[in-house]
Amino acid sequence: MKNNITLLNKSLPVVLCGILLSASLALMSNSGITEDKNSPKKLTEANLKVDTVASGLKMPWATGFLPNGDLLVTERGGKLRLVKNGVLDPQEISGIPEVYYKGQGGLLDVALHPDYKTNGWIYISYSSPKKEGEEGDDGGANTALMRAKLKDHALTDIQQIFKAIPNVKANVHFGGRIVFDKKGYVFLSLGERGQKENSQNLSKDQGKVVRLHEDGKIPTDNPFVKTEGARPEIWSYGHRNPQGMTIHPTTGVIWEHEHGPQGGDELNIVEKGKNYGWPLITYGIDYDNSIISKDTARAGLEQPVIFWRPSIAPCGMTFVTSPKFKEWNGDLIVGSLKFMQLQHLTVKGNKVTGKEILFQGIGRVRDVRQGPDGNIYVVLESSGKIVKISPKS
Amino acid sequence: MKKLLFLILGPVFYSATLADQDDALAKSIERGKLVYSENCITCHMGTGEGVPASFPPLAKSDYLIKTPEKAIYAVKFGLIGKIKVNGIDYDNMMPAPGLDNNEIADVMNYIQNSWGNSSDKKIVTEKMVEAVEEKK
Repeated sequence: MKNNITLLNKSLPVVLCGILLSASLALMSNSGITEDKNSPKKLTEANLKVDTVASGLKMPWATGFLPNGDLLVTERGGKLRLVKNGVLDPQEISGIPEVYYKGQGGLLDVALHPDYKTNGWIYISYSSPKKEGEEGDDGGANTALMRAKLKDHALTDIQQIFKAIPNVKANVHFGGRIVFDKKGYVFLSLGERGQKENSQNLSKDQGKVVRLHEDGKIPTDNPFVKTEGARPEIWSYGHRNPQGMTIHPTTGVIWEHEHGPQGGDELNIVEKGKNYGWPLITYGIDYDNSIISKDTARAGLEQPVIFWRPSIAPCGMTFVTSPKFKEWNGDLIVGSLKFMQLQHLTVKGNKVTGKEILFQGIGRVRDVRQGPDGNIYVVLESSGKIVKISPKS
Repeated sequence: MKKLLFLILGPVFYSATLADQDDALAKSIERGKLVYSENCITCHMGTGEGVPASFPPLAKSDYLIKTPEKAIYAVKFGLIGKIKVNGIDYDNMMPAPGLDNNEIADVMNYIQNSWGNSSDKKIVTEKMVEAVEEKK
């Protein structure tokens, strides 16, 4: 017995030493990451400030920058607003058509034509209720794209240039992001309206990205123009609910993010004619915990650049191309509705090599844009604000 | 004789009304399940457990069970700011899903009678939803 105690006394320091050693090893491996983050050249949240540039908005969805410094803001309920010198103009802009404001539907994205200064075109996407003669469910809706010009507080020269078909009686998955490629084409992302199988159906616009000429005409070199039964506006398919889309500033490649099922939100590179797999492949499961597909990959179906598990509910993203954020140039900033944060994704070529959470608790993020001044603007649904992120000092 | 008939038939009518009510509740719950899966499930989740620190649970939620009128208000007009559910603070925002009053009644009946919750056969009606007014 005595011997045993002696043995314990002798071995205790050894055991303790072992614990300390492994603890310090763990610390070392952690500090390895921390050190990298704190290296002096690294731009971090601590070097940035957040200023409110607009408040009092009701469920804002997107913003655009007018050349005179004013902001155009969509409110999902169906109003287009102006922010002048940091103050929300109480007078709304007239001319917005009837929108289907229900569930996730309503007035969605706004984007200025790249050549806005000379042509004055403003593009707006929205959930459009079924009109006489349109295909689909009575009382249903689908996403439409319009363009118009702004004269004082009124939209003029209003043209609906596209309407996704068919109308569907459901409140979910309208997509709605507008992107210009500066070659004369406009892209619009479309959700599958809660009918996942139609993402794979080329005779319907659900779960697609479409490509149009800027006046709404369909380009003759779109991938399915000659495919019988396929809708000619389709550029890519197999999407679920793409609520973010942006163009890479130098490569001109279009990046998109979409709400997946539980644990299956995706970041994709959108290319001509490709199938992104929903619902044949997915990294997520359904919200009732049922299995949608046992496969996460299949030949002929595109893989996401990354997927988010758990889902962050991404909404809005921008590439950084600003002298104010030099170290982040070429990277993506993505907004999260669900976790009320921004994510800074380090981009190398077609890969994401790092992920960093910024401004945890900022609010439900609807849109992220880099402004003409090189600062990053974030539209917050929860607080009804637009905030500007810029370097301190 | 008339009295006798009344005595016999009274309970029959009465129980028939009760059965109708149960049936109405069952049908409303069934419709409410669809409304839930379309408008609520991504945040409150398939079994009403919510998302820790972000979205409060509906399953066994004191907020829902003790103050259903507050829950109706939230579904009808949205909710912003701090609330306490089962002792835990949540500070988030729920956008108004833009449902019709009958759909709100259906989804209320569904969430009040799922995942271990029970409304004790009490039904939320369209009229009850209509009566809830926005506080300015």
